[in-house]
Amino acid sequence: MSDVTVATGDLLPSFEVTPDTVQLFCYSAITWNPHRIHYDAPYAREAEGYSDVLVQGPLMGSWLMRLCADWVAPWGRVDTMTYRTTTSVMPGVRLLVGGLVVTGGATPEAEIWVELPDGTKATHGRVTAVARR
Amino acid sequence: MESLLTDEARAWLGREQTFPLYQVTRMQIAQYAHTVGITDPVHFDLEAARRAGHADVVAPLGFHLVIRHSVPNLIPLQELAEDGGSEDMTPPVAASRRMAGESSTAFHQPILAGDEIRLTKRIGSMEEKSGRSGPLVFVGYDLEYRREATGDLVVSERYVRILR
Repeated sequence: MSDVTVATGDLLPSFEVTPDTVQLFCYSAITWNPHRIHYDAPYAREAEGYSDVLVQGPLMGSWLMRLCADWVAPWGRVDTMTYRTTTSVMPGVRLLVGGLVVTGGATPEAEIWVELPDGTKATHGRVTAVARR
Repeated sequence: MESLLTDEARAWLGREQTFPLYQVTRMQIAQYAHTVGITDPVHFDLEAARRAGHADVVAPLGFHLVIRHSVPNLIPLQELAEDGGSEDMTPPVAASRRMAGESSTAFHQPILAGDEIRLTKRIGSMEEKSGRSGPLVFVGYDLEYRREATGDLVVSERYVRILR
């Protein structure tokens, strides 16, 4: 069993990110996603009624998976992850990607989120992990 | 309230699609890692990956999202909709918007450079609910990502799309 113990109440190694249109472009490119809503600002405003292009929902998931991979790297592996985005996010907004262990031990579980500056959790989810034997 | 889920749409339950093989390269892994801000050298450097016990450069957790979104969009550009999107197994529902619902993922094995990954997608559930703005249809897709050479399941996922 790994020496590292994961305790209820531990914080995951959070990070901040402020997505810009360059990052959105690169994410659409690597995921081969031609949706206009992520790069065509006049289209996003006039056809869809948003104030700007939108951050891709899967990119929120990708940040959460980065968070979870960093969390488990010293002691184990990620087993399952569930998440849902309920608030649209625009580029230029500072996001906090973080989490909290809700069940410690060798098969820990954590709540994870992507939080807006006003405290709204734009994306919210859960992760389970398994410690290396 | 009028139902969105017609018999024609319900008949899509159980429909399955297998996509072209996705060949994973070191280049794509590096592009994905840089885009998401991931810096661990096992995703960029073959020697670092080997020292960590991998046969080749290893894809970051989440790389399956690249496959999930790429393969359904491998169609001629003139077949894309006005908004740039593709139909992507959306049942014929009289809805003007589609939104992402919950994603649940189980990680079985890491994806490595050199893998050929086969995605299959099946409509596993279809359910109508009433929302504040009218009826909503929740379509649940069951996704399996398998390594073609061995048949090993590397990632499995349930993804919900909301139509309204």
